[in-house]
Amino acid sequence: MSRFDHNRRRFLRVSGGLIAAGLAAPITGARGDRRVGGPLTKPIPSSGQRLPAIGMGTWITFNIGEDPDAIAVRRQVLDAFFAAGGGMIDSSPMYGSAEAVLGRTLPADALQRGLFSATKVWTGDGDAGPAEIDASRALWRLPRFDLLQIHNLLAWEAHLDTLMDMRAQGSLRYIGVTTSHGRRHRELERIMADRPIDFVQLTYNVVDREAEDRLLPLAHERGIAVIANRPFRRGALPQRAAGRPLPGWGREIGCDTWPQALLTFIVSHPAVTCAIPATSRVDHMRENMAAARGPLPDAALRERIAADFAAL
Amino acid sequence: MDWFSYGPADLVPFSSETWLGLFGRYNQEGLGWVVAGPATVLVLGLLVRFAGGRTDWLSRASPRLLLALSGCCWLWIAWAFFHQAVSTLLWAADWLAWGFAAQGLVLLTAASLLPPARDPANRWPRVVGWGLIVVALIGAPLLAWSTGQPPQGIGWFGSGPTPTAVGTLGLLLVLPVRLGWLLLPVPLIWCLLAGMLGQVLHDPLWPLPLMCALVALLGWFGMHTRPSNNTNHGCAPSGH
Ligand SMILES: NC(=O)c1ccc[n+]([C@@H]2O[C@H](COP(=O)([O-])OP(=O)(O)OC[C@H]3O[C@@H](n4cnc5c(N)ncnc54)[C@H](OP(=O)(O)O)[C@@H]3O)[C@@H](O)[C@H]2O)c1
Repeated sequence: MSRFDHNRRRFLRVSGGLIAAGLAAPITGARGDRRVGGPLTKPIPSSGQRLPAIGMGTWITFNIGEDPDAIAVRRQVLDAFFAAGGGMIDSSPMYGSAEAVLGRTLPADALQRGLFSATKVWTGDGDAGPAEIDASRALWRLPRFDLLQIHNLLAWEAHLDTLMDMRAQGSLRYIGVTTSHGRRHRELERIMADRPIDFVQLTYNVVDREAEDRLLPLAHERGIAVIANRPFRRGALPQRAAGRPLPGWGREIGCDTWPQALLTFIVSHPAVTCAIPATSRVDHMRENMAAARGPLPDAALRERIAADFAAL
Repeated sequence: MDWFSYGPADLVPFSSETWLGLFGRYNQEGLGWVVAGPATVLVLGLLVRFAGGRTDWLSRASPRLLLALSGCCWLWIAWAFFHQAVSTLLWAADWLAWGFAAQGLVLLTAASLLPPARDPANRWPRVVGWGLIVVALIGAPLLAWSTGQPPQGIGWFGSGPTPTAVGTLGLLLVLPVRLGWLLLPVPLIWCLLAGMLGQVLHDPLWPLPLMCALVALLGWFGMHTRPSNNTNHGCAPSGH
């Protein structure tokens, strides 16, 4: 298939998705929506399917091996996640036992409760991709993944072929590419511009805002969903705000704590589809899932949030 | 992959609680303590025979036996600790297992090679070696305990990689050894990794393995540098 065909197919998919979601107008296309009292959801541009804007990461927090006590706590963390309307869970074969632990701790009815399963392919050998994906699927104990992402652009050309075949055959819904810590943005930009991917995952938070310059506008323009990783900079941001009261604007956006405000800041960017904070604690999960339930901040308030955080 | 843009924290995919918990299960269920106890007693016994300078068979064979024993410990750690336990948490654990296994095999080979090297020209590196052995056998576990580490999470010589690496560095400075240059890199590299791991996991003792590695390296160079007055003090053939 030629690149033109890809792009045409993509345009039809994206515009169809946006129209289906009733969101064809430019920026509002990425705006959130919610049922009364429910979590904020945002559309995946390529399909229109809505995704809860607060998801969950598993780096470190779910790599706990065989520890029975820790496994019991992760079960409770997941219960709290789904009880609060969570959906997207992100993992990777790179995260040690995280995928196996997910397989053991996901509730039996996770799919019915809205699980959106996202993992990665992470091998330098393109031929080894399918076997790794199969192994991940067995670990998660799922019939198929919703989203497969190429981890840190590793051997991305080879894996992209595999994932496009899987998507064409219906054994995969979405394809993504990830990066973090601001690495390889130029290369990611080229992939986003040229290739028919549904998702990108990149680092975006109140202090790491480089993606705002080019990648987020490009994602918006190309109809690519954006997953924001490291929303708390691996816990450093909540730590910096620990014990500091949230300024008065917190009430305006329905946030009680700094972690909630930090997550709300991220998902209020029109191009961001969801943020994936990782936690090993039930109280933190409840706190995170209560973010972005009020009105989203406008551009001016977003700048104020960033400035107030920088002043902490 | 752009490895150079990664810091140590990006390469450690578990928390300190998980690491200590893994150590605890390895010590209790994975036979870590069962191996560490006899290994420590045997090493102490053999060191006493070695230091006693007697001429009976056991005293004469003590350097070889010490090298062989530590070789077995490295092989055990490769298999039981890295391959069996750590590989569930860390994709690179099997690489570490290969490194530890290689060190174990070279130690066994060195143990089978005699006659031993002559005594070093400088004696102070031996003192450093004894110091490292004391740190490995008693000092490091005691320090870990004093910083509030749960006893089941503490590593010991013979089953824990860091005390075993530090102890081996000490042995290399104390014993007459062949293949010394081959035996040095893996324990030094592990001490470096252990220091980085400790720092990422906020272990207050993280500088200890780094300091031990530095001291061992200085001792090693001291051992292979002749004193400038060239009087050959302490250059007698090894009688052990
Ligand atoms: N290249 C890639 O593909 C890539 C790279 C990086 C990350 N990711 C994905 O992004 C996810 C998120 O990034 P991350 O795990 O690096 O870091 P993060 O989500 O920014 O931060 C996680 C840390 O924040 C703490 N935390 C969570 N909720 C909190 C709260 N309400 N209050 C205070 N502290 C809180 C957690 O500690 P507690 O456990 O104590 O709550 C944890 O230590 C990863 O798990 C992974 O799935 C992908």
